[in-house]
Amino acid sequence: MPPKMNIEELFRQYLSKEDADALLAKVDTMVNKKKSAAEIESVIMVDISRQIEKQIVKTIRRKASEIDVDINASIRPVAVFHHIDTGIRNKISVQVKR
Amino acid sequence: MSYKEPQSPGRDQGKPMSSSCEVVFVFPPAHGNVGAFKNHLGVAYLRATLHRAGITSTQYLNEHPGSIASVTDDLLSYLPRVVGFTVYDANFPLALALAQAIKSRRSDVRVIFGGPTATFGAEYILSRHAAVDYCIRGETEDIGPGLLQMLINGHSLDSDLLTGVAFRRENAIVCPSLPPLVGCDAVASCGLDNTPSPYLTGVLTDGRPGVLTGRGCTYNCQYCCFAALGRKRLRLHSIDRVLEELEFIAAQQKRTNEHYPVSIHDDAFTLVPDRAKKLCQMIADRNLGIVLSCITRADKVDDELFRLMRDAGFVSLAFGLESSVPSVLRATGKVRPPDWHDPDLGPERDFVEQVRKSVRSAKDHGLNVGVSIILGLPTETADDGAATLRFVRELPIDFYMHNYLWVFPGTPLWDTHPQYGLKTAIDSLGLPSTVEYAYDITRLPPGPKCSLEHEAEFLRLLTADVLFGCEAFPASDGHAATAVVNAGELSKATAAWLADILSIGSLVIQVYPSLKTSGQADRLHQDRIRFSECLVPARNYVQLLRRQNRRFADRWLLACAGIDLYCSHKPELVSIESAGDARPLIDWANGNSRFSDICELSELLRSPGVPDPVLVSISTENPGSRLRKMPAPPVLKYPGRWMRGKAPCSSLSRMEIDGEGLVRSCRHGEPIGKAGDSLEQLRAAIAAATREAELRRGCDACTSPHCPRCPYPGMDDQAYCRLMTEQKRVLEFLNVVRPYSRFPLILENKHDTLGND
Repeated sequence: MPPKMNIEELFRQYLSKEDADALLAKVDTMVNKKKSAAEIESVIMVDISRQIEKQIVKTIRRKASEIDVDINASIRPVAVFHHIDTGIRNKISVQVKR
Repeated sequence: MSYKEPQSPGRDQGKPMSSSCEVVFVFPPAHGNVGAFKNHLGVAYLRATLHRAGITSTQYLNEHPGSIASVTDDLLSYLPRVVGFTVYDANFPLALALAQAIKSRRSDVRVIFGGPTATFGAEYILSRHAAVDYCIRGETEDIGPGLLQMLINGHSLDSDLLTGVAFRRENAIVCPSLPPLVGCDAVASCGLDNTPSPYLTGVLTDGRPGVLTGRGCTYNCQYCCFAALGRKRLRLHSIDRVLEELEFIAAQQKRTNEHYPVSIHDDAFTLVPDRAKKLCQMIADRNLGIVLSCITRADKVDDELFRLMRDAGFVSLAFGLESSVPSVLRATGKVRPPDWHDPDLGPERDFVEQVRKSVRSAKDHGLNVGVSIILGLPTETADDGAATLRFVRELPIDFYMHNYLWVFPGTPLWDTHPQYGLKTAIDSLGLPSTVEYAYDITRLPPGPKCSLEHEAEFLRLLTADVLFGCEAFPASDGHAATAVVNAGELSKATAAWLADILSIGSLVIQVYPSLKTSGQADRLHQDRIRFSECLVPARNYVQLLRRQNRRFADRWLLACAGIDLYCSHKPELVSIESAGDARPLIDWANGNSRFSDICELSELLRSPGVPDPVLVSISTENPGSRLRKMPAPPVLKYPGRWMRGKAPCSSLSRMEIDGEGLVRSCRHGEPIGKAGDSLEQLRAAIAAATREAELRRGCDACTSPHCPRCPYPGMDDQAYCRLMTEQKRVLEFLNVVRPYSRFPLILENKHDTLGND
């Protein structure tokens, strides 16, 4: 079935509100500059990858603060990890400092 | 405690290669994987032992491997004497395809298979596949150096005196007993420490393959081939050794600023709870700062252990539930052996309650928790299976794994399964399959939080994109990455050709004409067998079944191994609907609900009413701000016809093959060759067709900056040229809309890629 949610909501399923807004603003700029669809897609593919990684780190930070663990998180430049809520398949990129 | 940066005993980073290496190990990616060749922890242990014995080896690593032929080129460029494959059932076809390609070019190279499938299926493999010289059975650290030295020296391993090596003798397969388990001869409880560490010897330079703190499991699960490998003997590393490896990994992560979770691959990490507590406490004390995950038993954990695990860096863990029915657990041997003297099922009832308690407790400690279940277990009825699913539904889990029982050779169940109404078979590749269960396990619907749902959603989006796209998704580095077969049957010639030209990790979609319901399941099954037997190196083979048309749309149901259960239980998750006109786009632009997520624009673009004011307003009034408030637009069929830049079909990363074996770049393209042609021939043909169209249309004199010069736009030249020169506003609109229509796939692709890494 075609998705009912709008693009903003869709992005927020994967990214934080700030990251989603930043990414969509970047798309706006490229659209306004009349970049080609292929260019926009390739830029967004890379950016989404990075933003999802960032989102994972943020989620871990939030969870870590819930359980009173101090986190020093950073992101690998190449995508290799996954959303936190799928358990054993997770590929999470953080350093934990207690 | 500290570590020293070790000297690497062999190249194991990136692609090969200039210098030779006599022993090359290969861990081919499995079905469903995007296609990367990676390290394998078990092989790394063996390589560390080889290093100590003075034998240099390497592991073939490649993130973008290309075709079987190109990987074979890579492997043979090492000038190896021995190529060893790590083989599971899931990657067996690709391992076999590579073995055959190696043997066809260098018959003197010895090809050996190791791993679980080779250990328990050696007879089936060697009797069917001449490309495999030997199957090495069981754990190989003790026997490996001697065997490989013999091969390097040019000797054969055809000797009854060698344990653990299965080989051919005339028309028979000699399959000697498994070698002794590693680490069993030591008196100390840390007998595994006698095996050198893959990390501390420099074989592995990062921790992505994970670590082992122990091997084996003392329980009696009748279906578990890993328990069969370990022969119910638990062998452990010392805590000091484990800490040393984790410190190495932590230092590497800090040094490179590459942070990733480290899996503990023990069969059940907390099997000795006090040891697990001590280890977790010491990891936490050292403040290593790495994220850990493991699989374990719910009856071998408690609150204190969860707290220590959390402090050590664990963020997720999974428990094997398998069934919530005590009698089924007894027959399966999950808690007590099936022939346990006391018929009272109290221990099994306690286990089920312990799962419930442990899941809640782990959640309370901030851990992400999942459970796995297996349907079709010995003595299980349909009611039992349903009860297990109800039990899982009530658990506060983050995910669950919905598995069907698979009976493997070498397990206790392989010998006893007929008494439970289970039937097995060995296929032509030599792989086991479970073909009949005591009840129809596919009738049980998967519950919420099933880990397969994301895979189904991603495959649906990917299939729709590829089916009506002009190129592979994502970009394929010049490889042939997707093929659409439009035929009622997958012919052997087509499958064999696809095996030759497609890149490893590619996607094959077969679109069937209307099939009679009575023969449908058999047709799909036969084609899957053919696909498998021809060793096509695809990540997925998707079969599309035409369903009754709605008024304005074609509808297909997506069938694919692993997610077939959704065809009957949640068809909307695996359905693709395609309109023959632009109505979905118009509906979307007007804010109306639409009946399809794919649309065709040819007629709209040629109609006198274009440009549609609504469409144009979207692309002219700050389009980004407006589009982000709207749902994703429908997918545009063959958008390369209208988009700026060179027509994407020119790379031929995607192609279509019909029932007669004719190859096209897209559905309405003219044939550019036939199955059996080389990619170079086909690319030359599409380039020639494009040039011919350019000359025919007078493109050299045309000033239109936006035309992709599509050779097969699905309309006559005059209409296409008029459209490309006169409909600039609509083309601009399509250029704006296209990326938005692809965002759901791009987002889900990142999900999928990241999760499978």
